Amino acid sequence: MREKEQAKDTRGTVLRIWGYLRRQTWALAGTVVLVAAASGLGLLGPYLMGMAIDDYILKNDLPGLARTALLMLGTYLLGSLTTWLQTYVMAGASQRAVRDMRDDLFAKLQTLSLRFFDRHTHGELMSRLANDVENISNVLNESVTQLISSLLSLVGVAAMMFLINARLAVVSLVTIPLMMFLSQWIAKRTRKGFREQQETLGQLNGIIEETVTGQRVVKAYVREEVAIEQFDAANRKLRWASTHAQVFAGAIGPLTNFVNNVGFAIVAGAGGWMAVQGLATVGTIASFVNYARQFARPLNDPVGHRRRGARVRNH
Amino acid sequence: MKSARKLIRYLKPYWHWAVLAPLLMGLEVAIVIVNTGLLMVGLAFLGAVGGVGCTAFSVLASQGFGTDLRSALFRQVQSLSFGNLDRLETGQLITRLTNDVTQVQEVVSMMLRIMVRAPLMLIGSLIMAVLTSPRLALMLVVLGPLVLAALAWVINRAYPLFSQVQRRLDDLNAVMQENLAGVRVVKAFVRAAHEIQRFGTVNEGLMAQTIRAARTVAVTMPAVMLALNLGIVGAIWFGGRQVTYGQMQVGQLIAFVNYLMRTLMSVMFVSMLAMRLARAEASADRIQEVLDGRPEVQNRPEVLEAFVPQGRVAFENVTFSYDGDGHDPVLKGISFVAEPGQTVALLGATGSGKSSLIHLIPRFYDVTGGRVTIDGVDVRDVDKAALRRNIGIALQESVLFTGTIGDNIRYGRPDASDEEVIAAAKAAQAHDFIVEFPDGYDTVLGQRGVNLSGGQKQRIAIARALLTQPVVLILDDSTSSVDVETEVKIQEALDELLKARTGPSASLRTSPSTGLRKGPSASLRTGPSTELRKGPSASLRTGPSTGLRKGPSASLRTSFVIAQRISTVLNASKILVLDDGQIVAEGTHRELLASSPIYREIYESQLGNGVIAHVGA
Repeated sequence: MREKEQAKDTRGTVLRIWGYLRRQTWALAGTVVLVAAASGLGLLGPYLMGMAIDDYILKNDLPGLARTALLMLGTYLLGSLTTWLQTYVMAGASQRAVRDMRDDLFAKLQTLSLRFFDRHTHGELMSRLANDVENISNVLNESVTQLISSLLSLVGVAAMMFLINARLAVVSLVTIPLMMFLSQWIAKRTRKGFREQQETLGQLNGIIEETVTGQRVVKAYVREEVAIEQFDAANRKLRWASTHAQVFAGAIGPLTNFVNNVGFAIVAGAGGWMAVQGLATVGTIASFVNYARQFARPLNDPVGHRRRGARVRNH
Repeated sequence: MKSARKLIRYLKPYWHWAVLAPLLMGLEVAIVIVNTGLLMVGLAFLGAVGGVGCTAFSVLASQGFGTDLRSALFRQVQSLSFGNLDRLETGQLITRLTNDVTQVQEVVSMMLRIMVRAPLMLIGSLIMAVLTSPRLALMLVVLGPLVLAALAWVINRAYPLFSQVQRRLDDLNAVMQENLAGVRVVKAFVRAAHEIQRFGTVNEGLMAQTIRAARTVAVTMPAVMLALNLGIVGAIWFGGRQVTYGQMQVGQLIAFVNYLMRTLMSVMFVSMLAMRLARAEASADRIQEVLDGRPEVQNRPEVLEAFVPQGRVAFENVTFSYDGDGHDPVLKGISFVAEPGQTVALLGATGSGKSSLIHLIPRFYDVTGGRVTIDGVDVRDVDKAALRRNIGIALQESVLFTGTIGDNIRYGRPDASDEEVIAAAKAAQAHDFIVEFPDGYDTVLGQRGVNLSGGQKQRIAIARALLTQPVVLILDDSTSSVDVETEVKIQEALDELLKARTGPSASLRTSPSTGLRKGPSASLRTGPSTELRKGPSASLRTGPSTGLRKGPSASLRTSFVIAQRISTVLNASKILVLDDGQIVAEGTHRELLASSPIYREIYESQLGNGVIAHVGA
């Protein structure tokens, strides 16, 4: 007996979840510092590589190369360490937040009147406490830090590119509008599809919850066949709605790859030409090729976030 | 990975899509690898077409898979018996049908996309790396196995950890379920603080285990990244030396680093897939557990498919235990007979076995020993559906479904006329509150519509049971949330109604007594049952009948009533007092008052609140 209305009050939901997360002050502060450190170290790696090529390899400076290689080694080690620590700390923080959420929900249930329990089925309440909180937990675990680090690296990579070679940076970024355009084009087509998918999924879950909760009544009145018919209709509807939505959404990945490959070609081609003209160094090109790849990742990610986020229901 | 493999058969109908998807991905990979030279952009475009095609077909295949799996699971749940349902628990079943299926489906979709992409990318990049610099490629011989070993280590640890998480989640669900089931007791005894503490403990356990699992998995990404970056440092150092010695060109070095990254990236994809697979395996296990379940109550090979009894219900030395092997029997040596037209009331403390007893009549459970018969036929010799169509039951927890009030009353007989629905509602004392809603019987129930109180729900559930014109009517404590006065009214209406079972359905049952056993039943009909059918029923079939009565051929209804209040049972033809699974007293109100101390005690304890005054004997 429940309609799921996603995104109706997403802001309110996000704020509420944030309220729980905020209690983990230290862990959260630590995570932000670690994410920033990890992103910074991630930017340093390719820069050092460029330096190693330009300043040492091409100048036959082996001791210098050794120093830089060691520096790179240290950077990468620290980078992995901070990434690990960040996930480690965040896992604790998000799970503690989820625990508080569950505790509060359960305590709240104890204060509600019998009338409330008459009006909501056990299955419905169970589903809220278990499934929905679990979904929030997954999103907190996977997405929050990813989102922060994606944004940081996006800005960081752009800044590094401009710092190293502004002209090549401009050339590298020409694919961004193309990417944006493609994303928009697809988003327009998927938005309606995803909404439809969520609606049909809500209907189907409603039927499942209701039937399974009332399973004993269904059996007592020999209504199994009718229940199956009802379920099948909703199941079929969901199948086509999700297929429609996901075929379009799924195109983003390969299309991003396409844009990346084009970007790769442009950076390699323009970089090569600029190197010949003395406008860029070989090391710069090596760094840029590396950065370009980091750039593509955060642009890819938001779609995944949205999809995961959509699974969380509002209550 | 056993469960996951078993579930893969649901992918079979979509094999053409499932095959096309990786093939197209192969096209994309092939193009990405040779992406040097002028043709690059054009080829990249072709690659994108391959990639988009791959996604499209993998979506088609995985959605088909998920739909079929969900459907198979739902059908299985429909076929399960009460015993199976008790064990699987409602909340868990819902989780399996929703979350778990989605988990498995997403992994299938991911697998179709990455299964071919990653290995091809791996091999392709590897070949290119070797071609670019065989000497530098030697590094991969060391790094590759190292990465794989690390991955295997994490995955081996992750799977048991995630199953542990699942178990802790089940613990949490169990506490929650118990709390919901006993919400009235919790409130009555002010045990909320204790319950909150109990929940806090399992919640803490779940959190600790989830953190442990998440932290173990947290090593994966940084470790693989580190391996990748070690490769880069190695390439820069060794390759850089070669460049300074003039054995290699800088361009080659950059290309090698590039291929190296692609190689290790694909390893990363594989590891991500493996992680997801480990988590989905837990879901697959839970789905498989439901699919493997065998309904406890099954039809025997030869059953009566047409069964229209008169309603003589007999328990013959019945023993019953929920685990089926005779341990902790909840019913012991139960024997009694309920004649058509009689109302049998069951009285006893919580846990004395009242509900268990009446659940044996519609075969919600099967007896462990002895037998339950209707008109002398063992209920296990009757088709489950045919048997249940003769029995109307209002269960303890009155569940209603989305739809109008009218739909809900019609639940067991969708073709019933409006007059019949109203008559049933009137008898259940539901008519008055229903017509007070602006939409009356068309009032929509549920989230979007009106919510009913517990007592209102119960009355609708009673109307629903009455409308099916059952031969046997069972009211399982179904007036517990109704106030005393309304309950008395319901009881009076039922007393009238219970004596008559008629209406359009009678025509379906052919002529009342002679045509009862036709068709396949004939072979099963044996001596004793015919004799049993004679006797009191004929003489009783003259009582008053109002309300629902319409058809010319009235026959009698047997009814069972479980109640907490003694006022509900005063007028019963027979009262069974249960204690610890045994009948400790049996008789009418007057008889029991004289003979049974337990009954007298219950009677006197309830006299105080003035209930009895309403019910003039």
